[in-house]
Amino acid sequence: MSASELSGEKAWGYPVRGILWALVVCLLAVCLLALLTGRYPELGFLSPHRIAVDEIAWRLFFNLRLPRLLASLMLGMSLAAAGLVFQMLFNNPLIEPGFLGVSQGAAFGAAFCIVFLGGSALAVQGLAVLFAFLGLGLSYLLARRIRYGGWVLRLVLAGITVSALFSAGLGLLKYLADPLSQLPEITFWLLGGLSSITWSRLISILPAVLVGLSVLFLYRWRLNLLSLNEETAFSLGAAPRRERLLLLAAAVLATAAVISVAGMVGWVGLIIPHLARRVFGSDTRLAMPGSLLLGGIFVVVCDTTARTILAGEIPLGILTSLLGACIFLLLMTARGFQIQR
Amino acid sequence: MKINNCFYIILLSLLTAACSPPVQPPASPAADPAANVQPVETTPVEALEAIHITDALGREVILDAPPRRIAITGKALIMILDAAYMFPEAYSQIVAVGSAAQGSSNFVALIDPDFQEKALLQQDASAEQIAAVQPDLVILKSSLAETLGKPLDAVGIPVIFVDFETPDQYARDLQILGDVFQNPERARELTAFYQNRLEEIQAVMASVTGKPRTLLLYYTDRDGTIAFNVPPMSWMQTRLVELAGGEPVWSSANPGQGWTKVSLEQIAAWDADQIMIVSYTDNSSEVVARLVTDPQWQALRAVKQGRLSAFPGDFYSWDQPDARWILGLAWLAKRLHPGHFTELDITHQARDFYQRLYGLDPAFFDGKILPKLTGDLP
Repeated sequence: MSASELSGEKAWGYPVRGILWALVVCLLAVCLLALLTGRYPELGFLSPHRIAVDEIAWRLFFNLRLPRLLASLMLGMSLAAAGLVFQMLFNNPLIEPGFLGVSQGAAFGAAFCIVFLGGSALAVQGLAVLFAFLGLGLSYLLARRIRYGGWVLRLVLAGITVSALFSAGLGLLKYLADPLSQLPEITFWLLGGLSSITWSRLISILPAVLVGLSVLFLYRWRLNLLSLNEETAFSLGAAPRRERLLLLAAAVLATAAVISVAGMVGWVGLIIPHLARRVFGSDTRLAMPGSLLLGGIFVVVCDTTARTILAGEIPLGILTSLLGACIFLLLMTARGFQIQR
Repeated sequence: MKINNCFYIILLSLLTAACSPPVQPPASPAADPAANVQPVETTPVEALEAIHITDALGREVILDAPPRRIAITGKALIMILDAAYMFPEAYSQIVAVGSAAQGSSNFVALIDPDFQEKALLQQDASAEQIAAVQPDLVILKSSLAETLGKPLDAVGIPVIFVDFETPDQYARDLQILGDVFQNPERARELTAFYQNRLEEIQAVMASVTGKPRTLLLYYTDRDGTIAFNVPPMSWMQTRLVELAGGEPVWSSANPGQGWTKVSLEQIAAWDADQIMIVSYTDNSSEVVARLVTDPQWQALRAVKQGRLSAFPGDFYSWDQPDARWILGLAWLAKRLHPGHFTELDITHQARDFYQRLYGLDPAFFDGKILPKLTGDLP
């Protein structure tokens, strides 16, 4: 299908390009609302005029809310795009980065650094990325050694096992951690949140996220080929092993980077790709930008809610799980629902 | 516009925005009389000298003027708040506090008549929520430096970190509070109070021979499940046992850095000379009363010999790194070495403590605090 044919496709009776543009507008509107919504000076909107005349409001807007908004955008886009890649490559609509040891690996790496290596922000992020890759690698190798079941079943079993190993290690690290200084940091990994985001933290993950997302976006059309079996993909001109590895590496890179500052935020990587495929179909040329936009909108809305509705901050992971599970339930029970891959 | 171009625009926007340095506010924001902004009344900056304070993390914090709107929040804030209220200035200068209750008790609410007017913050309040009360200084535990300190720095709100976890840190952190409240003389008085009480106990200890093998257990019945826990070696509870001339029997049992659950089998194996029960939610005396009727506990040597004790407390248990730790130390020393502390009257010590540290007269103590005393007090 050529680009011109693609642009003529329709979803729910509307041109897909129109829907994508509507999502872009929706994302911008949500971002603007998120920037102006909060609990300062009281619950509600912060007027642009106040930002201009109030020094605290000015600093809050530019030094807390803006980096936090950008971080939530990166988080949503990365998890959604990585989820789509995982689901397509492994031919399994129930897989997300968390199923293959990536999230648990990143959390274990971060906790290990906090407990034993001092926990500087850069070291924590570096080790989180390293262990995220290790989690994926172990899952992949273990799946190859399991001697029964199809590839998908083996991969899911291996992923569950590796995740459980890292979870056990995380539990041990929590036991050893200083409850006043280290344990709260580790607990943060389990619940997820963006309350400690500053410009310096955001900039530290930006290169990895940009590289990861760029590769995923540019190779989105190859995902259609790579989701086919090895022989078919090869006969259509793809180098399946090399290209799958590249896409997986890019997905894990972006995921690990955002997890390293936001902790474990569940359900985004599972539910958003489903939603994108529901709207745009299984063609990843459309589903990928759809996932990116929907992921961004979803996490920005959740994070703004998390920091606004109560006097204390609700952990982001709790809100994404709650909303994600509700949406998933609606999708699954909706009439005529089909899983497309 | 193609999808590719749209994606590149979003990426470029992210890159441009994220690479911007932290934004500084305009030097003198345009004043607009129509603005619905009600700035907090503060002392004119130019009339006052800047204050330099070195906090528990060794950071030098420079304040343009003495703080007039102080917020104390975050986890474990009871230690900071109870120490801050030893300074008379705290009553007027603290404008926002987190939850200072442990169980159903809140000491500060009792002694500060204006407590209801202070802004109450959630224990996990974010920088934005703290900024909403417009503090000119926030005091936090140093363990919150990364998660809350940095965002507050980004908003431009000065933060002072303190610890208040060990006797040594009490001396240092009281000096820091003395700098904050511009009352170093009071800080010296308070430090001397703790130092004198500690030296009195240590002077008696010099003549004591033999260390009773002591077990301090934290009792919980959360979710209906009873559990006993021992503290790590670095915590105040263990330090109190050592300073009171006891030998902590659990020294090899807690490799972690938090409370560690132990079984009755292990408690029996330790066969301690003295067992002290701590509870933060229940009345420790009632807990001990229940334990002595338990057939399994009745088999323990310490219980048979009447050496199972309820650690005392009033609003908060005295074993914690709260201001009352010095009372807990005196009680523990007398409990472990009763023959050496025959003249020590704990109730009198407590009355003196509240009078000298919080300015509460004996009538207030007898009416409001004495009825709250729990634990095995003679």
